[in-house]
Amino acid sequence: MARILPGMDEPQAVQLAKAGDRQAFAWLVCAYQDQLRALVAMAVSNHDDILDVVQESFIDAWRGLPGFDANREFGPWLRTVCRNRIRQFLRQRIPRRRRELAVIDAALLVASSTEDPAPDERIAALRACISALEPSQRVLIERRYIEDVPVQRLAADLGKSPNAVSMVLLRLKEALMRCMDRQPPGVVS
Amino acid sequence: MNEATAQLVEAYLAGDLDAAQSERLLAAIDDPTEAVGVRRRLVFAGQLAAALDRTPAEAVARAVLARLDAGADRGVVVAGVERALRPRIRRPALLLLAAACLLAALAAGLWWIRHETPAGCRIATAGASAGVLREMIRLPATAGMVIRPGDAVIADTPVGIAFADGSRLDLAAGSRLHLQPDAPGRRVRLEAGSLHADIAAQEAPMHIATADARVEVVGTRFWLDVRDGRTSLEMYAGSVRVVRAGETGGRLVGAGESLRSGLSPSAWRELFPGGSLDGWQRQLGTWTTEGGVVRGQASADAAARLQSIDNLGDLELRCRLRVSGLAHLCEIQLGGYNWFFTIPVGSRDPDGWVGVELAQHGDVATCTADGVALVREIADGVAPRSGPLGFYVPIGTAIEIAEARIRTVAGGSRPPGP
Repeated sequence: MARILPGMDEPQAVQLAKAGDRQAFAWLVCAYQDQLRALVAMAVSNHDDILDVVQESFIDAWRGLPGFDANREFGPWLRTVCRNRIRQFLRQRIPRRRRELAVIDAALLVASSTEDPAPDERIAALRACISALEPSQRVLIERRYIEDVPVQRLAADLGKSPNAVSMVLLRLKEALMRCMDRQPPGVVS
Repeated sequence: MNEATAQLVEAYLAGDLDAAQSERLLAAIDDPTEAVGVRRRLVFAGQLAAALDRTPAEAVARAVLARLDAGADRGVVVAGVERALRPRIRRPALLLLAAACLLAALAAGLWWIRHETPAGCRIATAGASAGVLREMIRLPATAGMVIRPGDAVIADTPVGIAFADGSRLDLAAGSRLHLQPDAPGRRVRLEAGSLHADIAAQEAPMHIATADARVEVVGTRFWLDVRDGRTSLEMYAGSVRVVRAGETGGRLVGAGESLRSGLSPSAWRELFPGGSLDGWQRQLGTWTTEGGVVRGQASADAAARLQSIDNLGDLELRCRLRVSGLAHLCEIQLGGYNWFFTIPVGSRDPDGWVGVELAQHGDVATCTADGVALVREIADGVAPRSGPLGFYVPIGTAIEIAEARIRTVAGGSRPPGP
């Protein structure tokens, strides 16, 4: 969690941020940035776009804070703000996107709920699973999902077919999902 | 969620869906049984992005505050830029001439650097006995000396070679490095000895060749050794692609991995010679052999496990497996269940056999089932190690093992059996 203001808790941070305290708002950013990143990454694949939408979501939240009812839970409200920003991003993307993909974007965004997609425990468990991968597997995952290296380029680098690389990535993700589910509860880094 | 839908979701996340696939994915989203799985994969994609991104939370907070500040001061910034631009428009002819001269000087400098100093390559440090062989003449290697394509660095004593981008090669005593003449990019050949490489991120890979391999480096740290016709590589950071002599494509080797070429594996042997289980422990379940096929049967309340008595070390294994019963998988376990591969059922063979190829070299292991690469899984949380080989099926499941052959690589033990 946030290290900017040790001892701060969320209700305090929200009250202070509503009053214009930027450090308190920074505390909230630190606390929720993983969650928003996970939420945005469900709809946006490019790493730089994800960071951009996350930051814009926080900007929107800062501007909307004066009207936020502090008696409500901050997390679901923030995630709603983020989903609106995602919709805006997808709408801007429509002219460059095929019609059927834009339809799927909308359908999947409707299907996703406001529940927290990335509790701290799950992210910490997943990080532990990633660290247990073979170095070559970890490099492959990082190159594909952080550096956005296309599958065709990865295939050329590895001397494999794109289909084989896609299958390896699919199996790796399945293994990580199983590993994450097997991690004992309460593991938080 | 079935595998076809999983692949559609992956294609959607990668932005690679065609029109027909899009229709199938939309149908899956509308199907209540598939929709749950679709959402789970999307949620996991988000969790994976969050878990992989190592941007510190405080950095995100600073970026957000900076964007808030930029938004507040936008008017001042724009005005300042406009003021700065105005004086530059007054004397376009002089400006153009100055720009042309600067470009010409830059081009000349770049030409000189390219032709006189390949990628800015110089001797950084050199022992008293180090030399550079240039056009059949041996020159003493001195710090700051420029090295040209075609030169050979003879490191009778250690030599450090520095590049303009901060990359560095350190040659151990007794090493010899040849800079390839007339080759695009940076190509060197380690003819003997060892080097430690610390390479800055490269736009085009740097190639380091040995007698029987080529290492393509894009930004990494590693140790490379040539000895007795064999090439050894240990990676410390980043990754390289290694292409062995006679191969195409090559293999990606990442941080923490090592590779050795030129090893001579033993000949292929039957894993269960004559259909015998001598040298194997029947740890769980019932294990029998018939007609050269080894069969393991788990009970209704306990798994089945067969493990070699010996530590097999580095090995390569080929076999055919068939699983029946409750579970649709079996496991090949290495290092006494330190690490393992889950072999899925559902092969292309109508009789249900799966062709498995497994290779373990040091702490690197790979396995394919019908040509598809499998994920190595860690069982006990410690670093992978060599040890006994095991076959495992869960409760209520049977496994058949046929045509199993093994060969050990230098340093490994003999396989079990006579």
